[in-house]
Amino acid sequence: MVSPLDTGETQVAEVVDRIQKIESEVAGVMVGQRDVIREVMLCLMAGGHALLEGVPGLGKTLLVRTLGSVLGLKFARIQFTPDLMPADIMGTNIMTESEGGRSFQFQPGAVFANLVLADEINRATPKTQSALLEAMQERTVSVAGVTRPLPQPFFVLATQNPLEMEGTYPLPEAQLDRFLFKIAVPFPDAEDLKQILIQTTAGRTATASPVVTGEGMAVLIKAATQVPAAEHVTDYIVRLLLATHPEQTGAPEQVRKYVRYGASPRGAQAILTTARIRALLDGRFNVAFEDVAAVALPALRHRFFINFEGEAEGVTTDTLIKELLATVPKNKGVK
Amino acid sequence: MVKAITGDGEMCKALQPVFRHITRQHYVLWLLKSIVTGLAGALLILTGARFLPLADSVFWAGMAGLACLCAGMVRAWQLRPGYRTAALAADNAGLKERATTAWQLRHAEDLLAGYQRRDALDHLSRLDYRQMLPWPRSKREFLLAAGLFMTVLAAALWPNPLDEVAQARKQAGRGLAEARQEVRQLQKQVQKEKQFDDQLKNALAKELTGLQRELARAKSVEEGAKALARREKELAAKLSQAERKAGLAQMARMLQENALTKEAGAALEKEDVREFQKKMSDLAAKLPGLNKEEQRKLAQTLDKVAPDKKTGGKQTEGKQTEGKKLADRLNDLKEQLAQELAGAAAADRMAQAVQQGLGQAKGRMLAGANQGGKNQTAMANGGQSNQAQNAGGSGGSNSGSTAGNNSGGAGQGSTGSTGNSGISSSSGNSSSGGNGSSGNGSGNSGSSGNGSGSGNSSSGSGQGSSGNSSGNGSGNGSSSSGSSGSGQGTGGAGQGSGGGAGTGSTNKAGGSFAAGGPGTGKQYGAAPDNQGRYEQIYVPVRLGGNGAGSQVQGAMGDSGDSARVDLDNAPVTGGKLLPYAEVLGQYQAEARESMDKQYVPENLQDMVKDYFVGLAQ
Repeated sequence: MVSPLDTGETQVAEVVDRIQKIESEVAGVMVGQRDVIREVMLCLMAGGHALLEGVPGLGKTLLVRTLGSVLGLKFARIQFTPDLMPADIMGTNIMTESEGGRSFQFQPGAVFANLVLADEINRATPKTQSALLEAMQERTVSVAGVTRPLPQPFFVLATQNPLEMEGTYPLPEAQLDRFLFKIAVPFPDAEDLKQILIQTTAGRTATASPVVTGEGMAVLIKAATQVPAAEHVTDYIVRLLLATHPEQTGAPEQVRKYVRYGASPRGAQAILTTARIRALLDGRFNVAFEDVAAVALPALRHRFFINFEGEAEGVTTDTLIKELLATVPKNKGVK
Repeated sequence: MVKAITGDGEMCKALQPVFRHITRQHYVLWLLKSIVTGLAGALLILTGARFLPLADSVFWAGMAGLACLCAGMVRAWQLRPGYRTAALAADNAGLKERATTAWQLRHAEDLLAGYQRRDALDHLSRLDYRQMLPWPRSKREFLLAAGLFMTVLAAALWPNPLDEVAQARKQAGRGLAEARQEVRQLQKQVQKEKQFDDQLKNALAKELTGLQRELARAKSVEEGAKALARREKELAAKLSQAERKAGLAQMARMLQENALTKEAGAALEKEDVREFQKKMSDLAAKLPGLNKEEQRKLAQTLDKVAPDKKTGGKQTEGKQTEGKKLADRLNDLKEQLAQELAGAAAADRMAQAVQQGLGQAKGRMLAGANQGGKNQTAMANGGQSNQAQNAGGSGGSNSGSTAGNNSGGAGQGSTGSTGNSGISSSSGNSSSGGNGSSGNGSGNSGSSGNGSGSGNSSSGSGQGSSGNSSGNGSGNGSSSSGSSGSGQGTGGAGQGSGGGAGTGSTNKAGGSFAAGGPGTGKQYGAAPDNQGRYEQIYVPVRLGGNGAGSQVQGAMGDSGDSARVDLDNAPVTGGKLLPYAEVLGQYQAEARESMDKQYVPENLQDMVKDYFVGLAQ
């Protein structure tokens, strides 16, 4: 049952309930990957775009498609290839003939959907990539001098394959920064793999039912962003972000040694926004340190970059983020 | 819609149990830390006192411990936890920042803040803070405190050899401070004295200021005592009334030659200001009734006593004018001589005050130094323990002694002289109708003689002079009957190889006994060589020899009675300086004789032999 919500206490509880239903519906179709589902939900609730990275065959496309069904959103899939043109994504004016004569009519591109799956985004040329990224940032499309808004809500879930980097066009750092989360999709364990086999080879296809409409999503997002965060929690997020910068005095030794440059302020925004939502889903009305710790990895891993020495030694951003979570003090100067 | 509520009071009430719990923990932990710090501080002081002398080290260690404890508790109060800390503690116990967020938003009125607060209050009410915030384990601190306590106790109870040194220094410092106080009193007295002229006041003030400076700079009691003695002499010289008194005595004699002024002259001789003024006033009253001859003789007498500057001593014409002139001159003389008498009396008083004040200060300083420290000779020790208690007068078995007696005013003992190897002693006795003053005796010695001085007075302090060559200085103080006194001997420094010793005695008859103070000597029996060995050693002599009874005649006391008193220990007098080897030989012979007379086990005999071998080395 879907219905518009306002932000009373009961309504907040309903919001939480709806979100949990969404998760369970998706989990009914996707085997395992609970953390991925949760992170995607957080990202969507925060109104951001996500970049999913994982080897082929892990269900990335299935996940996005299922989400589209559950959320009642118009879903579009764009398979990025090296020959994909910006017009294919954004749309173009085409000559049409009608009773009044010939005229140019705008044919919307694949991006005109609520939930866009940009599959293997790193295979398209930078020009095509920037067309999508512009749409992601502005939530509008400009074609032939005319700017057209994209549908609301508008989410882009891009995927990329960590293998087969040859012949691909890795997204530049500035473009990566536009994704709220970069979610690492792990390979399923034995138990999950067994379940996948049973579920997908038996001839039956699991389906998910819609839980909430697009309007409902907007209300959910509005409720989630109002969750308060105490000052010392906000200070902690700031210290965490600053610690990713090697030139800062509080930066750990490993950051100073292996990081080329640190995360942008969007990283702190991403952490706080998604931490609020996570707190709400956890049944709390305040942001806690554990919320920050839970969202720090997907929020920061694509926002700061390892130098050559770090790459040579196999240091990853995930390693450094875990180091920061362990060393940056939580209650510094608080009495 | 849920009505928004603010939660200041609610939050405080909900946090109260946690707040009290962490406050208790906070103060107990700080108390433990302060105790450990205090004990460490006390131990530091007690340990330091083993290397550097520190008077009352146990007291200061206690104070340091208490100070650390108080400072620790003050700091604990400064850092005492508040409600925000209580909220943090509650969050650390599993509330996931509910309490701190609610505390921060306690004044907020929006809905979601209200929901959050309610959620936080609900969780706070269910929080078992005792279990979730247990008392931290402080076993290490307890063990450390116990260990430190035992160590401090041991350090406090274990005797410290430097305590005596520290005490001596403290006493010396106190003595110097008291001496400075006495000098300050004298300075005030000088300023208040109206009878002194500016020149005298400035001279006295200069001396006293110089003395203050010297006492402030003095590093030891001996330095202070020397400064006092030196300045006392200077002050006495400045306050000397000899010339003035001689002049007044001459004037008195002149006045007594005339029958009219005889009584006034007698009063002047007695230095009785009031009597003198009365007699002069009476004479002035009689003037109109005098005949010419009497007036002429009176004028002559006045001319002799105080020549008239204006007239050059010639009489002016006219009986009326002469009479008036005589009256004026009588009046002038009365005023002048009264002033002189007052000045003399003031100077006397000041001299007495200086002598008394500085003498007492000196005595206290030296007595305090000896009580606290070991800067004294064995003779001084012996002298102190063998002082003549209740003996009649002061003992003496010295040859070639002279005694000087003075009467009136301060008495100075005369000096005695001796031959090449004799002992001289001198004693000064003073008595005065009014106040007694201290007597000073000084002795000189020849090439190998002893000098000793003793003063007898109502407040005696005898001072011995230094001996020359191989002389010894010893001082004896004794007080006469009728007043309390303290005899204190100050042994002078023997130059070359001098020794100092002091004995005290008092006359039992009528006087209260005051113990003679210990003597102090600058040097030991002989100056040790660079290996600490002595060539000569000071050997005391008991009155009456060893063992056999003897009678010693003392000086007659004022009461005229004499008494025989038997003493267990014969008084010791200043003895003589003998070569160390000779004394050692005698000592060894005595020991051998004693061992022959009684049974002494062989191993103990060997010990005695080894002992003397060691002394000989």
